Amino acid sequence: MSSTKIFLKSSDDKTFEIDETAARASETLKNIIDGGCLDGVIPLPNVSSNILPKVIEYCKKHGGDNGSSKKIANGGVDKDKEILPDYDEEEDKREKVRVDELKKWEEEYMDFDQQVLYDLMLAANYLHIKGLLDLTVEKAASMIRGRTPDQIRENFNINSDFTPEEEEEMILIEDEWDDEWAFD
Amino acid sequence: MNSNVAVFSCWDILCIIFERLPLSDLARAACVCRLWNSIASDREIQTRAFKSPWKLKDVIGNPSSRGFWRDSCLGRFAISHRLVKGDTVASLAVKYSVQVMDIKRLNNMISDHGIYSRERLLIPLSKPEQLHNKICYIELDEYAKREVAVLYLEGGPDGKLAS
Repeated sequence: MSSTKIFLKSSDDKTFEIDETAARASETLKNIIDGGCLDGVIPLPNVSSNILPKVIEYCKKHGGDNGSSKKIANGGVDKDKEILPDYDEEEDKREKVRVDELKKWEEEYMDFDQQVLYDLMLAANYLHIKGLLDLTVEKAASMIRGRTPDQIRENFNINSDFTPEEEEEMILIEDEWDDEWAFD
Repeated sequence: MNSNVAVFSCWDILCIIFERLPLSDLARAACVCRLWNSIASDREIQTRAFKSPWKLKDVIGNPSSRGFWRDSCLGRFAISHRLVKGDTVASLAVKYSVQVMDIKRLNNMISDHGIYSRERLLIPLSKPEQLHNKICYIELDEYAKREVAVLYLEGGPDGKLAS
């Protein structure tokens, strides 16, 4: 199936090509396309050329591939016909292979440094790509879970902007907490 | 560095990240910096994290102790049992399948006498499933002397302690 090409311009003025079906993985782009105000190139002032190819890679994988076309092809006409058991099994197997393959792909796709993670999160948020946002946000959450505040600050390079009094207070809350549960 | 600042000062993104954290991590995240503190202390995010391990429907009321939102172990919850004539700690223990000692401890009872001077007793939960799809009310129980997420099995808390 041939698809219309869309051109995206990064913040540093580089142009990238993407299939329309892939571009539709992004709510923001989808609205622009459907809105009919597509004027050759879509400028993305918040996404740099470092990160845009990575975003496009994700869209290509997920854009035209959200199952809808496949479901129509498989179940559209034959819906009322008797379904053979081995047919179901085959479909199940294929689905499983597809999911496994996608998981593996995501694992490889998500193998990047922290800087890319931040940029990708921002881009996914800006472009409203839900799947990509989920993926990146989950990775960020996993970098917080089980860590102390100090470790989190170090990990994400954040400075504490609490006053010494506030720091003191936080230690008090901690104690209050410990006291309350000392009975249990 | 630039986008690091952008991400971790973006309210929307932080909200989505924090929604995925359990209470204990949320409490630690609140100590990272002011912005994180304000988001991690957001009522909606806290109640979501409080409810999710137990599939609670809702939590009503505001705790006065800041430590309340730090954890939601099963001991945080209790069933409110309105005392009627004939109730004894032993009979309640049987009725709710819990230990007599646990009821006494939760309600700070020294002896079996004088339960009728109370309007109700708090009953510890025996199974997490008891919380499924239930509404809890945060109350400072005058006998337990701490804030408890109280479950009313019959009706709502309308008849709750007048104090």
